[in-house]
Amino acid sequence: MGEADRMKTLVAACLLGISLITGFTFSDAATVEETAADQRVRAIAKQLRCAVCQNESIYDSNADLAVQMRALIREKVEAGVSDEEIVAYFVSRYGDYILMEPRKEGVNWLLWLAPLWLLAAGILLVLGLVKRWRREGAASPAVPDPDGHLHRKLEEELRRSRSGREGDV
Amino acid sequence: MKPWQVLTALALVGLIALFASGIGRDPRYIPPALLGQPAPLFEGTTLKGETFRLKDHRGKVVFVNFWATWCQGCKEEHPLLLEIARRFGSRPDFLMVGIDYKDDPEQARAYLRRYGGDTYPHVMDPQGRIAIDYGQYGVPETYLLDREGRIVHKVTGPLRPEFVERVLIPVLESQQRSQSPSPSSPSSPPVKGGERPLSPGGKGQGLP
Repeated sequence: MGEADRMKTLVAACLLGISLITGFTFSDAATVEETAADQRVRAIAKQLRCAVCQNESIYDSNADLAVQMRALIREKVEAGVSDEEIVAYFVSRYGDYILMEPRKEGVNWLLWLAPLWLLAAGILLVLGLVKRWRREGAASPAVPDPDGHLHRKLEEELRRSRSGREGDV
Repeated sequence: MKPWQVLTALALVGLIALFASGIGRDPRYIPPALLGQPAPLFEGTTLKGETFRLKDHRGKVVFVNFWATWCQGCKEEHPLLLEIARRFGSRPDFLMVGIDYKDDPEQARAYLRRYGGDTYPHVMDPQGRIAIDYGQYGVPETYLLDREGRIVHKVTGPLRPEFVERVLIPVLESQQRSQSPSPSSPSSPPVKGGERPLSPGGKGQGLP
């Protein structure tokens, strides 16, 4: 591959990368036709979990119940109910279950912080180990063989096994 | 041990404990949030074209059953519903009401003609607003309200015969003695613990 070809490949890869990244952002951004009410409905619906499909928000789900809930959110938005009140209404009916993200309170903090803490501790642990290995590796060779005795013995074994195999044939 | 090591160990143990306690649970099970709470008051039009208001039936034990003609579990439990209506339907302190969830009214009427069950009112809920107000996520679902208007029991899926002996009769009997003031008087205080503002027509109810 020539230098020019390599450059072309690199540029293509960069473009692909950029389009992927921006593609993700586009899907989240307001579309041109979206009204303010649409945006609020979307923002609220994304916080709420679809009761019949667990891992989808009611914004993403096409389940009947999710469709009805979106319609209800829209009705409430248009009636001037605040976002917090709408979310609180769904929580009062379905419990914390309906929230896509656990609330940041009480024992839930453990869910939010423990993974970050464990990740940091894991990184520190690995760094520490690597540092120790390098220190030990620099201090002594993998197999101590100061007078070359082991090396000679190894060569001899290899020679013997080779000639032995030729003899078999 | 250094403090950060202690914290790490605690975080690990805590997370494992949380996950361990959750892993055996059914992820589809939603704990009923309204249990013990005042039942949302609804009103709407019945399949017979009459207006039904839950608040007109204060002081009664109310049996609310969400159903639909397209729901197989509802057909399964239907004979039991008929039996409950036959055994308890004439009691003045008991009310059965069906919520016809997201259904075609014509088909629903035909269903009741065919299988029986139009001895008690069936409120139409075409948009599922009453259902969402009750935190419902499938049909059939059944709620039992005590005389104070609180939800005391929720059944998800087809009703089983044990329900009558284990839940319905105890609720009907336990409070019979304690209903001293005339329960049906419209001026009697409504649901304890605060009434929720409502909008008519079985539509989405107002927020507290």
